[in-house]
Amino acid sequence: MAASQRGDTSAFNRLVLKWEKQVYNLALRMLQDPDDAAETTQEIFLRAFRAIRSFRQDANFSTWLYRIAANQCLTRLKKRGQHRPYSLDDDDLRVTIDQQAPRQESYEQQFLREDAGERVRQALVLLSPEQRLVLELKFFQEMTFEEIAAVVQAPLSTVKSRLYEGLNILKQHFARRKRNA
Amino acid sequence: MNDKCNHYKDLIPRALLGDIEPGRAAELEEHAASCGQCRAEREEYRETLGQLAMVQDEPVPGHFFVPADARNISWRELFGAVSWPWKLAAAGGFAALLLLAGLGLSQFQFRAANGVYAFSFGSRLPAASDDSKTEAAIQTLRIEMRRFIQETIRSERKQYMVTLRSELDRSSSNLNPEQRRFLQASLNDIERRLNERIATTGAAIAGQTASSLDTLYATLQAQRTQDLALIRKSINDTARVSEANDRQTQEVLTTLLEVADLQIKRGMN
Repeated sequence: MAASQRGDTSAFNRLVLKWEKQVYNLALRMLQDPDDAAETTQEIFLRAFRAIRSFRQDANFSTWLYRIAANQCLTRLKKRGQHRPYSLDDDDLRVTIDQQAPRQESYEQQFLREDAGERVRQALVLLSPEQRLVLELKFFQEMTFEEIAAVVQAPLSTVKSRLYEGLNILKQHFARRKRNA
Repeated sequence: MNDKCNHYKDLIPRALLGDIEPGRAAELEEHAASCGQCRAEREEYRETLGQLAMVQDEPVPGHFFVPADARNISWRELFGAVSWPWKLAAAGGFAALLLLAGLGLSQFQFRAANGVYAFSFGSRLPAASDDSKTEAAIQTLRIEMRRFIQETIRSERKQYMVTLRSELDRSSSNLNPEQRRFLQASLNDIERRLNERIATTGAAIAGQTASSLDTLYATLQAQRTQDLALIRKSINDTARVSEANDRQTQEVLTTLLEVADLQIKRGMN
């Protein structure tokens, strides 16, 4: 860490090697596009490298890095104009998601065919970027509520509220798909 | 689903994530044991969490290493790396930027017209003076100064000539006509030279309106003193010549009288 802070790219690239998979998957689930996710991940590490001098050694590096990643993803989504709230009543979106699999397949067949990651990734589109980010940090990055609050820089109550709202939306989505099947 | 179920419904995901107190979790468990709807709700949440748990991370498409030249050079490092001329230029540019920013913030105003510079910080500059009015005022002042100087010179000259005449009258009472003519010629010459000097000085004054009146008066006073000294010297010289002539005439007459006396004595003898 000290070498990275002195501008040693080799030292920093060892940190990249350690964190790139988590950061890339966070970006992938947030942005829903592999190319965008790869480009954003590269930007995240470049920003982290340029800002690492300001990182305090006594702080948690993962919290610091995820904060950069979260901000970068939210900024990218804002640029895309995808900041509107999603709804289960959004017919266009529902058609888009439901068209991912042929209708003649049974629910079990669909589940077998589809990759779980793909299925969840598609469902995450229903969430607002803020809800998606909190779910991502809780379930895929396995952070505590306190750590998430530190990353998104929001009160604990806000974090929990976003998480349970998002979870409820996903539950309804999966239940509806099961009923339709 | 009744009101009681709505109350427990909110607790279901919290209980599954271990986000409620054990007592409330046991209460929920007790309710769910007798409520099919809440059990179904809980099952849906469990399935959702199961879906999320099945997700595995995608492999990275490639490494996201930062290149060796990705480091941002700080301003201090950049400043230290360049040569002295560039450092000076950068410092000058920075200072100019600061100055411009400061002037901009203070609403600086500047105006240069007809060699007159005016500036202000914030308040409005007064209107520029009319050029034609300024020129006319300067011309009037110039004429008045010239008139005043000429008037002064004329009065000085008049007084000077009066002084000269009185000096001449006082010293020429014992002179013969030839000596008086000599003095008159000297006086005329002095007056002519004085007129020339006055004309020269006047021309200089007309050409140089910026010259000081004190300097002009000092010059005139020096000239006057010099001329008076010259006149006094001429008068004294003339008086000395006159006295010498008188003595010689007296001696000649004495000698002639002595010769006459001798001839008379010789004739009588």
